[in-house]
Amino acid sequence: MSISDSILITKVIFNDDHLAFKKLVERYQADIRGLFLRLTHGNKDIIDDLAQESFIRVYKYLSSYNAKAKFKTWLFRIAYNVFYEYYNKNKIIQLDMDSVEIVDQEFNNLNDIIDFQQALKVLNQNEKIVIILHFEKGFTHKEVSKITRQPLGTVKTNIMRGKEKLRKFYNYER
Amino acid sequence: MNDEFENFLEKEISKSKIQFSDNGFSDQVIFNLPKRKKAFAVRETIITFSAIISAFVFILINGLNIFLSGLLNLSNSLIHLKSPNYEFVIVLIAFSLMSLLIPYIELKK
Repeated sequence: MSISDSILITKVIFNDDHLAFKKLVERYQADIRGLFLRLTHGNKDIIDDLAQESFIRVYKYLSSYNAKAKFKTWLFRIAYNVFYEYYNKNKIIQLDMDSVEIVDQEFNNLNDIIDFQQALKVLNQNEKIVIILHFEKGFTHKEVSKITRQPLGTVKTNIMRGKEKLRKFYNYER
Repeated sequence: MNDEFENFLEKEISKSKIQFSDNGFSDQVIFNLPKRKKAFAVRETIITFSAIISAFVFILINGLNIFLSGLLNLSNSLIHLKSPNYEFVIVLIAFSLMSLLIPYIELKK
């Protein structure tokens, strides 16, 4: 049976238990790196740098984590901040998005990943993040609103607009 | 409820699901963790210091004797329906409240 997040968090806060923190990283690394792959060009170095920075911040600020919120939501909030700081510094959206750099051979479904990455290109950054968080990561509208600090109404509007754009991209008939 | 396009979208997403294997990533994170200040170091020092002082005062004023005789007096007064030593009762209540209040404050934090 796997140990719950809250027990691992308690161990990290009170005993500075690195092994417990490693378990948390192992549990969520795929989710966080997957999010960054969607939001960036798929450059593995950038993805891993951003993911590492996110987990280091989690470790630093873990004692300020409010146990009433889901840990996963809090973690994604931090990852979202890390991405936007990086994005504002580097403005990666202005680079050529045609060259998706997913060169890692570890994915069996590389073509599907690139296809969906192309579809995401029709969305603006705000629409992209809410669509990924809601449809891929399974967060509710309210949780997406907490992660992105967008008002609930804005989240719903962005999801609706994003869906419409993707519907057009896929030529999907009603 | 999901509309048809949402179902289609979810299928597209699951087809392109990204499975990152750890491949030493978590080890790298652990290796780069900064040293964390022990958040409770100051508080632990204060609590230890207070406990030592309290124990010292307790021994100095022969606290065990006072406490046991106070308890004996209290139980006697309850059995024989006499008025108890109110000073002892007040101190007992005050300490009981404090012992409840401190964990309550800590938990609320």
